[in-house]
Amino acid sequence: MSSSTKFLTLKTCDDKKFVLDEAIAVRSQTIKNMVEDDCVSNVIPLPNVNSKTMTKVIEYWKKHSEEGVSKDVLMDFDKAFVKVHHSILHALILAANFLNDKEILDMMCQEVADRIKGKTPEEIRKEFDIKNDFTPEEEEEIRKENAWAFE
Amino acid sequence: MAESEGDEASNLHPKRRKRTNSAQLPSTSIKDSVLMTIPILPAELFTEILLSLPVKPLLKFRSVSKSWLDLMSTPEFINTHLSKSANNEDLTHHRLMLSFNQPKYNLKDCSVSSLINGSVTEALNLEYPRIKSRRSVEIVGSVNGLICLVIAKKIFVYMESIN
Repeated sequence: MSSSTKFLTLKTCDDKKFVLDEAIAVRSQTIKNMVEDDCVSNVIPLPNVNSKTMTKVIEYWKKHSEEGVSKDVLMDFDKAFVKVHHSILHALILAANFLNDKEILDMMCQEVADRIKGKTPEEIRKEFDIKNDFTPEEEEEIRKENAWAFE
Repeated sequence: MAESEGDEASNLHPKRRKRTNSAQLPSTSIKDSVLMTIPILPAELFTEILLSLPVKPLLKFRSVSKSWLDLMSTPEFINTHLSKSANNEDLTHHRLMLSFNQPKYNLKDCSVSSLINGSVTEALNLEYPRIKSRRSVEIVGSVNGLICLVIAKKIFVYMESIN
């Protein structure tokens, strides 16, 4: 296997380079398509992923590509992986979307959902900077319709 | 540029937007910012997050803004949310409903994932229309979370609230 191992160089937006086994890098559907279409030159630029985020992504890819790792170990790894600051969580969602890695994307979106599900609509507006464009009457009406959800 | 993305994120449109060209998104430079600015997510990714929410918070968030309400009201969103819950491999949202006639007529439910993975599963009493206390409750069938019950020869449609 070692003789056929191909390496790809990924370059993040802050000009950091990551040399990675192609077999691991193709967990990204975006990179996989580039490899299959044979449009990979020496360096693959990742214009909207920074090095900090890419380090996290690669950490995930490597762990999930290891052989002989039990399901429990991976579950614990995933649990620890999503315990990051809000800003990194959003950066990972954007990166996973760009790299087209559905596994990371779904996991991160689920984490955001878990973090916000206990919040009130007012807290949600504040958190995501959303303007309340309902009149007080309209808002009251919708709240009444869904009153049981506020219990 | 950050401002224009902000507008987009806060104004989820009911119709799914065309996929935002990722290259236009603001690059997230975390280490440069002392305050750890939170990158703003485009509308399509917000939709993904909302699709990951259980029913109850989803209904609660209908009053966040008109655009959120519109988005959550589209058949596309509702269908995608339903199939996502129904196809969840961990059976997180799946419940088992049981009808009892001893020691008294009762309806209970419990979590399927806890039945499979947990050591102890708790079955909770369900509220249902008790026309007469000594009438059995029969579960006829269910579809998409709506359950058909027959109590004292009357048919009821029951909607299970998923927490």
